[in-house]
Amino acid sequence: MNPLLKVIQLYKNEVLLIKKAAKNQRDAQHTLYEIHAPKMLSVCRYYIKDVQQAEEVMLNGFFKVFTQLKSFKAEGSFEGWIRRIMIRESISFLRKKKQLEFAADDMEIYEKPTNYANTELDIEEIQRLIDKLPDGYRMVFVMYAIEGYKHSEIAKLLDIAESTSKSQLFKARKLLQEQIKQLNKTSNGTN
Amino acid sequence: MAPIKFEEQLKDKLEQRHIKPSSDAWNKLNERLDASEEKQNNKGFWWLGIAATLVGALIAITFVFKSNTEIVEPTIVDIKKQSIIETQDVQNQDKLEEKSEVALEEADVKEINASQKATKGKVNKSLLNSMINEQQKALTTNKIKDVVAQVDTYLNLEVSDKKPVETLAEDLSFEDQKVNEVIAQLKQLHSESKTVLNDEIETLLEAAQREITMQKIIDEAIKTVDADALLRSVEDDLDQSFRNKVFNAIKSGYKTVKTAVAERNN
Repeated sequence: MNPLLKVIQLYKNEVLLIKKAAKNQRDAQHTLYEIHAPKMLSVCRYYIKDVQQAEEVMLNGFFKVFTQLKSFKAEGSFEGWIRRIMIRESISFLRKKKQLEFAADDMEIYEKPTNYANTELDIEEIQRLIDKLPDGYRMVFVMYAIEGYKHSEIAKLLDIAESTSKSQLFKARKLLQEQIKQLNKTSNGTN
Repeated sequence: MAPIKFEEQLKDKLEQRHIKPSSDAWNKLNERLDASEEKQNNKGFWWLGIAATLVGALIAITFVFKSNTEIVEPTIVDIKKQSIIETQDVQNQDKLEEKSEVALEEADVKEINASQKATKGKVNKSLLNSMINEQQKALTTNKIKDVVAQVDTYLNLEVSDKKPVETLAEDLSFEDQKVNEVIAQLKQLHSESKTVLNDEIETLLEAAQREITMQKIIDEAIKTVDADALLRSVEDDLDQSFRNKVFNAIKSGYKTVKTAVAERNN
């Protein structure tokens, strides 16, 4: 089958599934869950260190997805809509845990260029490095570097100043550089 | 700021990652979704319950108001109707008894006049019995008809309209009877004395009037007392006694004056 036709067919199927799920048809909801849950659990895992807690957050997110499905307008992608819900749920979870703290910093610090040491990391190592970042740093770094949000959007979502978002990103990057250097040193030492 | 290569590499690798949720994750979500649906359904029933209660209350109120007006009138009419039926029955019974008496008298006369025709008397008695049976049948059928008519009128709620007409007819008939009686008495007087005084006519009319008012006061058929008529009769009595008192006073005064004048002359 032509790849374009295959994509169209998948899109048609998803639209049909969304319509059925909006009518509380459990089979359709289950199918949508099966399609998107692994990816969404990964997204929640960016922000939350514990997998079980990340799963709880993901389930809360899916509950909101299915109960508010009638408000979904097919203007953007369905996955993007679910993803935004998951990120908001993660932020809400960390706020409730009082793990989100953002300290205001000087402008001069974060305007310096960032240089990472050349290294190849596997996915487990990457996640471990991200997990080592404080919650505030991690949140801004993931939202900016992985999700592609702008500082203005991050400031709005986290209810902080744009300058705070920039300083948090700068500090996260600096910490990551140090961690990668440390990692390289230990790997070279072992070699 | 230009995208940093290392961060691009992180993004690509993380985007490709998929973490499989635990096996009971869907069950948990399913239960939560079921619970929320039940809540929504309960909300709907709650509103339905309120609506049903309001409708029920409205129906009950309308029923109470309607039933109040419907119940009062037929009960009054019911009693009167029944009494009318009873009086009709009594009248019919009286007629029947009169007829039977007449028939018996005729039979007796025939037995005395011709003893040979004893068998004929038996025949008459059998005829009488058959007549009585027929009358009784007629009575029962009349009664049934009356009861049916009563039920119909009760259902149609037209009894209140019919009732005054019937009572009016009865009153008129009684008054007519009295008028006929007075006319008969006047004719008799005329035939006896050939001259009838106005006073005699007035006394006859007054007597008839009294009887009519008495009939109005105590209507045995309806078993009700006309308050106005009763009051009028009492007022008449009061006037009468007052008149007597005045006459007595004048009489005694005249006697005392007469004796005083007589004593002075002496």
